[in-house]
Amino acid sequence: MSLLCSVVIPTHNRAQHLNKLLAALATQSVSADRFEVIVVMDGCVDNSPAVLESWRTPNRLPHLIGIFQAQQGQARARNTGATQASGEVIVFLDDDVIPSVDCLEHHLRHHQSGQPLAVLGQARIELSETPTLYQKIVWAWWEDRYHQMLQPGRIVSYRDFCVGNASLRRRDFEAVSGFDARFAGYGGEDFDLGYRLLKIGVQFVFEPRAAAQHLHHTRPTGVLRNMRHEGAHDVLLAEKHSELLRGLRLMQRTQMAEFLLSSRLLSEWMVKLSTPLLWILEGLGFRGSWRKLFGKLRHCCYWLGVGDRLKSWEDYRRFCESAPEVPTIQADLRHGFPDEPLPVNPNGPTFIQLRVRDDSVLGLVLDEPLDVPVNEAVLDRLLTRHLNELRQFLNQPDADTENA
Amino acid sequence: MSCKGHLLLKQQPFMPFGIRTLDLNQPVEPVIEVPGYERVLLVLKVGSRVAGIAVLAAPNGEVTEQTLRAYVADDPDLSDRIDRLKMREKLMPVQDDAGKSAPSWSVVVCTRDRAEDLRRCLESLVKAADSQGEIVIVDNNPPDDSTKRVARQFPVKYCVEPRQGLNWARTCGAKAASGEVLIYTDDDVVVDVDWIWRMAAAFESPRVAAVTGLTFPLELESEAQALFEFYGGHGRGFERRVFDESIIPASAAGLVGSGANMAIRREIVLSRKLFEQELDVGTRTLSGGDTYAFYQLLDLGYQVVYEPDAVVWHRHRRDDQSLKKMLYGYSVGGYALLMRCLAEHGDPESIMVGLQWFKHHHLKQLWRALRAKPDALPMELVLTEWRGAFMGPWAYWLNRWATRKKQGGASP
Repeated sequence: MSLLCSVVIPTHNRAQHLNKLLAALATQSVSADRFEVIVVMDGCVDNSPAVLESWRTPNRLPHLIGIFQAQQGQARARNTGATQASGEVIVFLDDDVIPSVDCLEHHLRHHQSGQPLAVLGQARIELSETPTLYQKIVWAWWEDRYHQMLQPGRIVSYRDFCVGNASLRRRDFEAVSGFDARFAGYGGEDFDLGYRLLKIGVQFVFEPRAAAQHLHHTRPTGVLRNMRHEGAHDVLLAEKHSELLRGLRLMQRTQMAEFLLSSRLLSEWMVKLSTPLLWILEGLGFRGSWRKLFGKLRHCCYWLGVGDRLKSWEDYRRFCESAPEVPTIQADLRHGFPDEPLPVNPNGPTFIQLRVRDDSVLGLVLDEPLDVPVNEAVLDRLLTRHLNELRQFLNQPDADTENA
Repeated sequence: MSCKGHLLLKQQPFMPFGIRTLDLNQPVEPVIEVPGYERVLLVLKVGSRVAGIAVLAAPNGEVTEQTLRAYVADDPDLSDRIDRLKMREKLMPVQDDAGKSAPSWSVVVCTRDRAEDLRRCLESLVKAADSQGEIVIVDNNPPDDSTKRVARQFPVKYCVEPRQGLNWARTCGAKAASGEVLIYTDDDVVVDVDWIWRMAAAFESPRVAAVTGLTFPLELESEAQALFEFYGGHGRGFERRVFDESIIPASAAGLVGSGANMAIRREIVLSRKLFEQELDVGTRTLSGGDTYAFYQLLDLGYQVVYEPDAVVWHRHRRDDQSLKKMLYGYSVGGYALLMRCLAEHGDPESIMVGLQWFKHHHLKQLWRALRAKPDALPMELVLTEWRGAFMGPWAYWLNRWATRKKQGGASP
């Protein structure tokens, strides 16, 4: 009997989580002898190998493979695992994601058609009895994200591709030659892969029933470090796919960004010195100030990350200017939907400007390559996807919220 | 509610206000009639959405279309909102209203000894009900069976909560109900036909734990009612807003709405024991049980949506004594709540919120009354609010000691 799928799990020194994850895999609704589990230990020095050994028994996980590699990052670890895979479908799980009983079943159900699909499951965080400020922010972020993805008629983006709980055909993974190991550290590699998959025509399916619990454990300092990686990775992403630059956050120049890029050493120290303030503010219970500071620090770290690759403000400006013009189309919606369909760029992203009121324009970047002209139906989908932006735009909530 | 009502209110002698609703999508009649009134409060709608209100003099019960146009043109916020609503109707007529799978609901009406009000409320609720839910009446420590007799005439679930206090009644209702969301209202309101589903449909994401709606006056027949409407009122404006801790400090939860028109997910009410405290009407803190529930929700990271399209009409108390009692109760409850946030949650932001509130409301009202400004609240009422503000923190401690004593006495 051939294997239905290969579950690839990169891990780094998280034996306890790994134990829970393997336990959840051993009790899936899909029989454990129908899939294999490949755990790639990326520079593990804890007792992960022993944990692995304890689950490799015929009545638990008969096809459990452990691979050990010197620490090289998640992207390379996932590639290593994928090259060992023998199933037709690869399911990527992070080591802190505990799948529910029928998670694999729901992934596989979509792949039965044999179509080029990537199935994106959800990995929700459970809010504890007394959540910290940071946990609340992370929880809210993921909840909002999954909620957005569930909106009917929503147009997908390469940024939907989060690899913590996702599956795709091995053939497609090999066709785009896997993850790009240049995305070292946190994140970025999945967006890059997602974009390349979209380009070869793989469709994304969001399947909320492929559910998992996300044991989130990063602390605020970890997030700041990740933010820095994100800044650097956005630059790398734009270097690889210049047409994406227009939609990236690093195009939003601010005075703060200019300062951070011009005096990198000084700003680095500023960030380092003000990080302990977070603990003080949280300890005293000043949540509003904590939020503000945390937001500022995240922003700073993002630009420090951009600076890690682009070195100076001059380089940054040159980088932005070198970007190719993304085709821009304009739609006048002041008197309802236009009768004529709008032409879009079939090969890459399109920048769409919607004029909804006399005094202002709403700009949207459509990052999925669309080969259909934007007609009423597509605009309708666009509006649904950006309903919140549009709603805010149409509502213009007043700023007077301070006074009780 | 910000409007020019207080200017008309100042013209003595007091004359009652007629209330009418106008749909601006329909052609407006050249003369809008309000028979029997000299003043009018017009609720302006675009389709089914509320754009705002206009408070106008109506000599001989008539307002001309021109007067209304001039009023709208004079208020940039209002005319802007009308434009935007018309735009919205054109752009997203479908996405906003249909296709949403609204959760199942239970309307919970907590009542005590007001059978006639309750009858009117139930008549409107029955019209607004669809097959997705049920209506629950909680009779709080009833002195006789008048409430029960009214409830029997309607297709509702009836239950009795012997412990007196609005919060106990709310908890009792939550336990008796079976819907995913609990829509709470008072017995002295009349609801719009689309109120229930708009409240339920506003729970659009799992992060939304509560929804509040817009409350209009049912009648403005007495000066006390008009004073309450134009100076305090339940209104929170006409813009839809989503609150969470990144928007306002949790202790400013009073901004999100009030218990006469709110809905909360039932699972959260029960699992977090949101209303199981000695708070609100029937206890020393006089009000604030709803605000404390919102505080806890915001504190946990949830969102509260203010949905002005969900409208109820509240009959304010007619007599001056009740108005005074109510304003006093709001101040006491508000400051008692802030004291609680500080004492039990160690939330220093409540001090800042308290100071802000004091400065922007109580000090300002006193200043206006002293200068005899045209839009000033009568001095007597300002002082009532001040008394409440100073009593609030004490009320919290007294309530806490009394509760402890009761619990200590109850356990052997």
